[in-house]
Amino acid sequence: MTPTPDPPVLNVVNLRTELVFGAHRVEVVRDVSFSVMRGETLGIVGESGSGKSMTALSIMQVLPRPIGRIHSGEIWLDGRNLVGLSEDQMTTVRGREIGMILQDPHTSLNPVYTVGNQLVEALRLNRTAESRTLKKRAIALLKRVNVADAERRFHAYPHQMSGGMKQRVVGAISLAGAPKVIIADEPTTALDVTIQLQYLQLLEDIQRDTGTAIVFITHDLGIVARLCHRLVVMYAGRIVEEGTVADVFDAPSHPYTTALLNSVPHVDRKVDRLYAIAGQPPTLNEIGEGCSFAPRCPHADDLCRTTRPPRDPGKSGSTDHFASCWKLRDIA
Amino acid sequence: MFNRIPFLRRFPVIPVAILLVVLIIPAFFATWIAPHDPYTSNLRARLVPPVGFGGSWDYPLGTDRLGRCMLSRILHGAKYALGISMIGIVLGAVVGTVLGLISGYLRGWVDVFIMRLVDITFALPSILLALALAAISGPSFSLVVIVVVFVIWGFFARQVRAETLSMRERDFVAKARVAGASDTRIVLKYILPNIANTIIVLATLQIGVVIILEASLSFLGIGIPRPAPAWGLLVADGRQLIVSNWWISLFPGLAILLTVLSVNLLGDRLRDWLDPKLRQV
Amino acid sequence: MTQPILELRNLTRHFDVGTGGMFSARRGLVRAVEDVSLTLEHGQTLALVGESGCGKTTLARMLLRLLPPTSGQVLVDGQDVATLLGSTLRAFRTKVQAVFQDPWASLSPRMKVFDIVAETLVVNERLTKGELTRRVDEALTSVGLRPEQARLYPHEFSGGQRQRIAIASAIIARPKLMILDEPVSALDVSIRSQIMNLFKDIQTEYGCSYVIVAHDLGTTRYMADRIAVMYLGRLVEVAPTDEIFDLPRHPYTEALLSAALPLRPRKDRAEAIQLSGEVPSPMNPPSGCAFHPRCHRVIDGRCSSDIPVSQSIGPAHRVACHLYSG
Repeated sequence: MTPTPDPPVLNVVNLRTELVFGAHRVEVVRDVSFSVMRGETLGIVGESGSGKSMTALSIMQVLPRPIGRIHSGEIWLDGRNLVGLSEDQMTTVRGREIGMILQDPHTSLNPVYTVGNQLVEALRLNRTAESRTLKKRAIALLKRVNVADAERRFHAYPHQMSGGMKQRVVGAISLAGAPKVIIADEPTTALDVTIQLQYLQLLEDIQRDTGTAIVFITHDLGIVARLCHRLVVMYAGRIVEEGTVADVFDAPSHPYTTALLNSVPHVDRKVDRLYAIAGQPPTLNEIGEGCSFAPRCPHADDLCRTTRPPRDPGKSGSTDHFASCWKLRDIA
Repeated sequence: MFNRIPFLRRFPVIPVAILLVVLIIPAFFATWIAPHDPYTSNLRARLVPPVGFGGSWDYPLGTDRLGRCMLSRILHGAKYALGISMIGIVLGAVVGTVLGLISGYLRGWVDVFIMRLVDITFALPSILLALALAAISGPSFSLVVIVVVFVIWGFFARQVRAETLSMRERDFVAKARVAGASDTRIVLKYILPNIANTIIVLATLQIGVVIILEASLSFLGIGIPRPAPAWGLLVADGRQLIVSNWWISLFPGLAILLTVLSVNLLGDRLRDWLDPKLRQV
Repeated sequence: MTQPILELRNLTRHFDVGTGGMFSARRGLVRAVEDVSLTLEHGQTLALVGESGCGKTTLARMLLRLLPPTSGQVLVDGQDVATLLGSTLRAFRTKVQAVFQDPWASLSPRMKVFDIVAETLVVNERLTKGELTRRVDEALTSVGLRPEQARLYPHEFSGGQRQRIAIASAIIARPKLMILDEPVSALDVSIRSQIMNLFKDIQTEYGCSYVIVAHDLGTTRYMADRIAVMYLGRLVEVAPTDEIFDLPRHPYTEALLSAALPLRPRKDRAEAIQLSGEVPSPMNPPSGCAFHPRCHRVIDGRCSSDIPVSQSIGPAHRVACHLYSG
């Protein structure tokens, strides 16, 4: 791969986010760095407690109040550091420069306003269209996300729509500001598989047309394989592996990634017995000094348990494939 | 250590202290702590004002028309307030909970019937009912209890029914049915324990309502019969003398006010801790 | 031929629903399950697959006798479950058990693990306290929990452990048939394979049969011997797992399988069949074959007017589609 001349659209550097419960502090995002290029889709993969959603909330700066806060780090969006911006400034960034699609379409829309109302409102806030053309633009957006019969749906209320349709509307709203980055947090979890496929296809089409970058947060490796260009794998608040989808799937280098890939049943071939990762995902206040995965890792030794592993080149040999594991070179 | 239990971290010290002083300790120990017998009149010491208003420490809160010690009467009155609210609320809660469980679990026409019954009791003025009953049987302790139960059971029935309706659709109830548990067993072992918090909170929140109700009935002469020193009766006794001998009505009135206020503050805190979803009740 | 553990004969369930507001007299009929016939042999696993509204959950509830059928029969060991009473009903309750999707909802938060696990035995069998304790210990051990954890409450466990408790309570009476309703979809990815393997081990050990309701096709491929695909209340295709994955016959099955996302980067993948539109409302299903408005292989005229009949196209392979009739 040739190095891209453009700077990344979104560049997260050494992000640390914590939740504060009185005198008790829990670090939920621990020194996370990644970047996304224009027109690129980055998958963030992890299970509950991995910090993937907290990373997204940190970028948007909509952490749970009052307990959540960014401890340190930088979040560069198109050359501007979002960390330290005032709430007013962030309000213009959200929606206009970063669009967000959340997991549950039922709670993302306001039930008492029509879909058209909410779209027009989003367009007005973003000042991207003149007021005369707002409705026309809104209907165009609905058509853009493949809502059939958009003129009629414009006047519909959210409860009159199916989950898949609502998630399209949420997508349309997030597109209202022509954002540079769309952050999608498990947007297809509530959808049926055939509807999920339609939705992923829609995201791809939008990206091809507008060149927006997408950060797609999920626990589903199948979606990552289908949609993403690159991925980062998170475990207990840290990135344990990152690289292009091809590199990570072909040469997984962190034992957690390997285990995850081996523990998911395949649709395209029959296996006799799945690999099962021992133990439970860690709760955040029981993470020690060393590698977070050490308690569940079959290869862990004393070094792993006591010292945090460095970020080393991954097994694929590509220059943009990294994993943090002491045993990287030892495990076949 | 206390920090781990939310209720204790913000323990409602003041309401609990007031309740202990005004209601609970007097209700149990009035006989020992009251300076005088509440029924004995001293005609040479009629209408003595309280300490600081020309009275003496013999009668700290003054005396009434018959020279009876107001402090002693208020202290003894606490047991009526506490007794009526405890008995009335327990009975009301039991009736309401049982009917609410039946209503929510069985649904259908039983549910419709019980809920219409609740609507009727809510629509009927309780004072009017008490007057009618008192006209038939004369005022008595049990009459007050009956009126209290009549007024409050509907609150329990409605809330318990609503919670039962949602509980019976839970997976753990389906699981119990798959295991072969009978309806009675499901209601008693699966649904009731999961709505117990609601019932406790609701009961606490009803104490204030009941104390006011009992006082109102007594004030009207259809509650606790004389010469018992129920707070409502004491307020009524001082009514005609409110301008010249204000202490007769004021101190029992204050006792009612403080009790109801503290009970409600306590109930709010308990609700936030045990059952935040009741907040709209 | 031996008696199958489970047999469904023309099983149908309709729901009456009001469609308008409170004062509206408009009523609607939802045909949640329509004319489903199936069999399951001892020791086998059958998966029910389909999208939301396809009726798979309603079907599972009828198997568990939580919901009476509108017509048709559910036979367990040859006995119609609707006719069970008294001791035969008690026998049914120990023979058929269930594991539900959400381990946070399926365990009563006010009961100790011991009482949760022991329930089926307490209700149906007279055992001494010692015998009961032994059986609970045994059940907990076989799902990978420790007997002393019986004294704890469910909130003291993680999601995966809670699902193990639910499984322990299902297997304690040594059931012959277990209905698993999305048993892993609420769990973390790294926990799912643990639980799926546990189900397989239990099947080997106890020889029980499973009906698994799942929307994840990977899970069904791993778990099931046979797969039944449902669409809008009807069975569209039933076949052995490998056959259905390798050579799906019904266009809906085809589309469903191609919508599944394999764990391979996209460069070496065939283009998926994309269905247009969404699943129609079961209250107002399309005429003829309910799938015809979304079907990519629709036959003009026929599919929109005639309801296709289920027919055999191979040993143990049935499909309801006009492409294969006549």
